[in-house]
Amino acid sequence: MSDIEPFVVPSFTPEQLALLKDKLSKPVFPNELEEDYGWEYGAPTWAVKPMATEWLENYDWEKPRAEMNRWKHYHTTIDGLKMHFVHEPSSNPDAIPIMLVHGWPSTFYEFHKVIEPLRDGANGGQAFHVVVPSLPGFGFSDPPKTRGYGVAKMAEILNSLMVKLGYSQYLLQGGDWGAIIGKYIATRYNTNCKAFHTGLPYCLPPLPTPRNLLFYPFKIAKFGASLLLGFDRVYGKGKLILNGATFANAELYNGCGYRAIQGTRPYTLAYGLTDSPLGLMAWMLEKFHEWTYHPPAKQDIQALPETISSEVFLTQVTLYWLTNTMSSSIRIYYECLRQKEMYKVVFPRVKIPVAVTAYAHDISRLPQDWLETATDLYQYSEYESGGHFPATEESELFTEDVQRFGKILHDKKIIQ
Amino acid sequence: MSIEPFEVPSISPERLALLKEKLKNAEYPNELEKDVGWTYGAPRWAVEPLVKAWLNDYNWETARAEMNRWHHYHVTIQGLRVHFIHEPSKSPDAIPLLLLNGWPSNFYEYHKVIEPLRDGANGGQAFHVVIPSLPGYGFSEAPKLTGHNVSKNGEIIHELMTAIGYNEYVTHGSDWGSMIGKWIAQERSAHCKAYHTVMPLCLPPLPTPTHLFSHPLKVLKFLASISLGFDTVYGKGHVRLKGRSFADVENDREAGYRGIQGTRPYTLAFGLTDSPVGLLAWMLEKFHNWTFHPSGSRDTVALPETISVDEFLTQVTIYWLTNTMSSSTRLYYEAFHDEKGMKDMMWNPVKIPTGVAYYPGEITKLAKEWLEASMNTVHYAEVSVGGHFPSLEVDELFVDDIQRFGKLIKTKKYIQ
Repeated sequence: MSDIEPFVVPSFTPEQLALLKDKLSKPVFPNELEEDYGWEYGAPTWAVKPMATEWLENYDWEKPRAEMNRWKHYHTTIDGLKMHFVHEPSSNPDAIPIMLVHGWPSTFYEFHKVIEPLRDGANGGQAFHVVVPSLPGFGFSDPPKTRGYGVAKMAEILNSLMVKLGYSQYLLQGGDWGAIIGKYIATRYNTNCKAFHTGLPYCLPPLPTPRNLLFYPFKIAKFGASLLLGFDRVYGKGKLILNGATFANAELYNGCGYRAIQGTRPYTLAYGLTDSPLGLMAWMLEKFHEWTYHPPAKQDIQALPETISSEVFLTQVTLYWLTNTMSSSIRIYYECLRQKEMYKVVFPRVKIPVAVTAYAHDISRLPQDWLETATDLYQYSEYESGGHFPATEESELFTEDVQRFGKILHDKKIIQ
Repeated sequence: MSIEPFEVPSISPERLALLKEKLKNAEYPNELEKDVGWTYGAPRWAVEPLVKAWLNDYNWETARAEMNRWHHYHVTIQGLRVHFIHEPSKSPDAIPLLLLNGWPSNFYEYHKVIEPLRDGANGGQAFHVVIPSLPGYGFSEAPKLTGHNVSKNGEIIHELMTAIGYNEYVTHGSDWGSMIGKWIAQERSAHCKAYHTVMPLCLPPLPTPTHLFSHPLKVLKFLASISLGFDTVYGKGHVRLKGRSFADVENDREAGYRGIQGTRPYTLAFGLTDSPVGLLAWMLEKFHNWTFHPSGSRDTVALPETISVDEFLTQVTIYWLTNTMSSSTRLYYEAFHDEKGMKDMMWNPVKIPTGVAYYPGEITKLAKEWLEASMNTVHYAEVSVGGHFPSLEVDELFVDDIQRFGKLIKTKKYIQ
């Protein structure tokens, strides 16, 4: 345990700040079509330019930095990599350990509104010992030095981190890559990971396996029917969002172009996203726009949803900029594609207790039937708002849902 | 339709200063510690020296003087200002030749062949040479509205030839020029009398009634190749066709750029426009991957020996100066969203005399039989060196091949 070193989120050096401001003050914008086509072609200048101006003129890193430094940060070396994490143990005697795992293009900061409520058992709900790591190659964690750091390697590192901190049993909450790595941990490290809470389960449908035939014959039949009659007819409109069920075939799902390029040529893409803060910010803005919940009337005419302030968004962007980690963060797509890891994630059944949240707008959604056959589903909630970053967009709903699941785990002694 | 002379401009002092400042303040991505060649994309060891050359050694004025040896013009067609080079020949036997480049290239791709083709070098066929910049490329205005797809480009380019005064002409194309040229060959066959390409795009001899009637053996052979494999049936290397579609990266790792450009060109464009390093790297990957390298050297060089640093940087500078990387990539979006149009172009035959020259570095290669089944192939050549940019890489061989095709067309009076 001796190599756990405290860490303080740093300020910009004067040189770093001058460089960022210099680059932001001399932007060259792309040419676009003369008519406004909303977000059809990607992030439009009318959305990017004001955000860039905001970043240059109004954004003050010191404010979120002070917020971040309210929590205790550390570095420790695991598998040769310096891993950053936040560790906020609870003073509540009933608290159970939780690891909150972010994805891309996010960071540990995604959880900034929920760390303290979860730690303190807000509203009389379950309390947690909160651990929030930065994935290798993201934020303040070192980037991997060699190839091969895909889902499997990251899962090993994250599980080792919890064990190293003394949490031999814990709940894992994850979205995006946190959900993918989380599911991998939930199926392969269930000695330590005792429960899994996510908004993005990656599961198979109810196929006619021996187990399913025995326990869920009706679900199998329903799935079969849905293949013939259509998913919406059988499961209800919007209950199944597969988006092509593809990792990187842009022909099946035109929202996965970023996975197509990040999964094959991360080096080439990285130059524009590293040398130009505008390039970086636009690349992230598209996701913070597209993957979040907007009231339908506002979807095409605003950049960020009302639930994410420009300060919160720019803090995420600045974390990537300051640490030069956009280039390393996107390489997880390459590693996962190259090793065909998605099969290893999707196929296995989760045998530990699972809680799934279906927010109003996320990149995929599965019917409860599928979750019940593929996991040990303890809790399922549907929400009328929130999207891909629920801890940021709907922090109270998120906290309450995690607490509800945590209480079951505590009371049933699933996590000691 | 008034045709206005145009001179390739200098770079204004302000813009040159901005370019140099951005190059000087370049921020580079982090990479893996070990050299992984080009497997993750363009590595820093390849990009950085070219960035330095661009900053310290490159002189636009040298290329500009060369470019201004030719006659440039602008003409407005369908509301867009289209740039073109027009070099009529002194030879009485000359025939009009339209040269169409693709992406990430521009008219400068032909800089070494304009004069030899115009003058009938080595006693070969002479041509009245016309080289347009596609709308959104080089010195042509960018399209203003959505929908500016391959057929729109074809319409405009044909109108250009008419505006110049050529009622009959021969079209040569590579990359997008190959597709646009094919459309012209199919839809403007009253005027385009012959079609030459280095990257023919057509379907194999599928078992349609027409094919079964005209080429039953070709159909059988193709069907056999589906199960036995292309190499077995057609001979090793005679068919190079990864991925069966436009943006299916799961099958073709090279297609990532099409995946992102075909779906979110706006978002991609910020990094490629604001950062000259981002732009250079994005183009370099193609100038590396798509060109012919003598065996063994591919992983350890940036450009092939056949393309000089100055040639490459001139192409990059044209994109930078005209701010056209953004508009040029939108052609992929328009084509990707023009499913019917693209399908028709692929399905429909080319009835006018067609010439194909295959260079070994070209990214796609189809069996000769396929070309013969779907196009009126009167000329077929396999060249021993050169790749996707043959007029840059092996200009003498390129000229020779075009001249032989031209002579054939002239002799057989396909064109007057």
